Amino acid sequence: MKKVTSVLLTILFLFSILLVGCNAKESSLSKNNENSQSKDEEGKLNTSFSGEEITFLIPNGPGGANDLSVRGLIPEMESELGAEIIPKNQPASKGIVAAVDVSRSKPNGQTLYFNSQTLILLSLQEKSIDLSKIQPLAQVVEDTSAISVPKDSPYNTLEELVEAAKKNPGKLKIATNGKGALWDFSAKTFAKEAGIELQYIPYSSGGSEMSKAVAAGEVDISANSPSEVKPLVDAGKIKVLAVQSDERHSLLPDVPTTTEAGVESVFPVWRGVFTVKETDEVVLDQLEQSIKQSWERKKFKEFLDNKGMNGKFRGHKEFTEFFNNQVEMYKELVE
Amino acid sequence: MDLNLYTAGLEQILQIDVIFFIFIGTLLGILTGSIPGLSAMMGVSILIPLTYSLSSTAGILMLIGVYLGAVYGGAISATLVNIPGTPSAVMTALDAYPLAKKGQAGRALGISTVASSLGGLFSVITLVLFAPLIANLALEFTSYEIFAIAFFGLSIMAYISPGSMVKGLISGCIGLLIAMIGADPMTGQARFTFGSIHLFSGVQFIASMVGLYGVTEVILNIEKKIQEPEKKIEVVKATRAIPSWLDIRKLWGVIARSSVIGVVIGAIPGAGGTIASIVSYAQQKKLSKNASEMGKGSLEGVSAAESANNACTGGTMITLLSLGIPGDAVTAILIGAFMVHGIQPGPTMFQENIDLVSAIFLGMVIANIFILIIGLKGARYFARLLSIPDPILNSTILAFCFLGSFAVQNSFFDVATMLVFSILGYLMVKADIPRAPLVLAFILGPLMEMNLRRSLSLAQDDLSQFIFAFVERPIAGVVLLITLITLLMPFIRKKKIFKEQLK
Repeated sequence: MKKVTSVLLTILFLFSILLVGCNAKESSLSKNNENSQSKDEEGKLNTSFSGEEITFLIPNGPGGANDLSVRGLIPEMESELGAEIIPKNQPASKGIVAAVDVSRSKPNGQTLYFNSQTLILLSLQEKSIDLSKIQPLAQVVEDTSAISVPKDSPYNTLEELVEAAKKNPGKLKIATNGKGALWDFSAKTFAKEAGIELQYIPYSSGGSEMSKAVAAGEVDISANSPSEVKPLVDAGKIKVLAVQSDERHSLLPDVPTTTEAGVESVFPVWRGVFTVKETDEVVLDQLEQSIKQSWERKKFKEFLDNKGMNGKFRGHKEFTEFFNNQVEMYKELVE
Repeated sequence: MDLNLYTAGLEQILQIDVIFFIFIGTLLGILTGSIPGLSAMMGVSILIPLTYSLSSTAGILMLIGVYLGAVYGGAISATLVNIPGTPSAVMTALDAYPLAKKGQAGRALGISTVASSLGGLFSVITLVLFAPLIANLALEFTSYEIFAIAFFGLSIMAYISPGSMVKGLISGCIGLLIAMIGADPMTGQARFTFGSIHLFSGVQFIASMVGLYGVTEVILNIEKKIQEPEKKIEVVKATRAIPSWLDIRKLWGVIARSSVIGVVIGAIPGAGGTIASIVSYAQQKKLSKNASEMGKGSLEGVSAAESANNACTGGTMITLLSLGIPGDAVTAILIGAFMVHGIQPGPTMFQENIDLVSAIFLGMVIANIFILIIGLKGARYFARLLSIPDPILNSTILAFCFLGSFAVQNSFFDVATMLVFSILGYLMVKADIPRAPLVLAFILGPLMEMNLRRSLSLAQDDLSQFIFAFVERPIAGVVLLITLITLLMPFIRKKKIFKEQLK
């Protein structure tokens, strides 16, 4: 019987090691911010957040772009605010649950939410998200989409592509990531501005699969994230005709913008922080300041560079205006 | 030859914590495998949530360690108490237990350890050689091909599921129906969500697996205990488990042949370890000079069964890594684990996560070596696990089930999902309906639907164009043809039997 007990204890011990392993990350996080707090020379903002807890909802699982962005922001925000910020991954239902949670939270600035325009797209599909209850707080990223074609495609410039599409309306196939999803709108914006008709083929698992489909020649065009396009460009399987913005992209500096290529089609892909409406203006300013400080740190910039994302900061007033315009734009596109 | 594939992962693997977690994974796998009632499926599904805070390499390799370890662990209880710890050890028990009865338990354990480890290592080599080849062909695998392979996987799973085919089909259909829940992959329209925002992206896969395999087993264990409370398990005492060179030399050919069978069967979507060991055992019986010995304590039988079921692991990983299609229920759950860590298994992995792919190759080699070490040194002690008091075992597992299903996405709704699935799992076991087809259909269903509908849309929604596309595409066409043959086989066979009976 003694041996049985010892074996049992061994198992329990192993399980507990695992559990400790799970907690290790949390404690190293808090250790980090102790360090940064002591090193902080600028002095803390005089806030009401000191000693409080802030929950930061992430609409995806760990490891994605949104998750990493939030975790990049948190340490600096904590030292600015003197509050403890707890990241909470809520990937349930593509982040809808988290969006509903934040829209129903208390307006004290203690519940934050991070997302891209996926938030708007989800609200168009699922009515339980009430955008009028969500307060844009600060934008931190502005990216775009790259319009790519197979390597052996007969089209070498955007002009040639548009011309061919005009000659054969509805014949050219463009990849999307499902009706009403991000890259679907990217494709539709392009088609609308260029005045062409395309056939939309959905690849619901997202950008990498879309790029693969272009490389395989299954579709003629794809418009998705430059960071997803880049590996296949390097491998010589696809070529990029333009990026859908008015500035060139850092990952693809040789590729012209749509404006340069003669099509006035701009499609910003942005990410930002949100909270609930009716939060006090003073609180919004404080939070915005802390996000701005974190955003300016070298570490966060490096993180964006690594991910191939372009940083862009908008404060809550500017971001709210931009957000409302985007909502209108998407509503129009859906109709 | 591009060596990058073999060296890119070195940096990630040669870290003390990664090796440590592979070791823990393999050990936990052997533990779950050697306790009857705890399967590889259960081990992997309830341990997934524990890997969240690990790096993706450490987390995924730990789970692969659990998988490989559990497939081997089944042999221990098969040898010492004549209860296969996992279904794939059924054939092992036929010979290993008689050997143990003769007082050669140590020898039987030693041989099954060596056979398992060698089979596993052989399969990793095959995996390393073939997976990149198939992944390189990935651009040939367009929507049509993926649809055909997923369809093949689903059809063969019903065909080969243990027991009646109808019950396999019932299970598969339940899986397909569950997979229907959530946003439509093409239009984003909510399907069968009954207005609940929690179901918008479908039923949470890992939580449902924890219910289906974790809690269900606990309920069954408790039920068994109530029905036969006095049943005492007799454990045969084993001596040292180091096999002699003489034995291994004699069995070399058997192990090699069975490993090949194992890998090939593993690579067929939907087949898996149990089938591999049965086929390999039957093959051995046909070929062996000492066929009469088999079933009475033949080392050939032990090694045929054990090397085949472990070789199967590399085979299932081939399709998992290169095409993103699971070979059996465990790898279906592993796909869930990859996605939790933000990685989509499939050909793109070879471009985007080459270091992870490489680390998986190396990690599997290490896990198989750990099996050898742990098995030879400790197999006989694992038998003691069988005397853990059930209340402690069951309550520990239950705690992990609740913890795990909540942790997937910090959601209580998933805990409810887990409980619903545990009831479903219990009912299925009681009705003698296999659970594996459900799991595979759950994973393959959406893959098949998505690719079918996309192919149709690529063919301008024109049926004749759609069918013609398969004539143009040799891979898709051949796979569909094989599928058709598998589906018709039972009818042809029935007719034959019927005719024979008439005579």
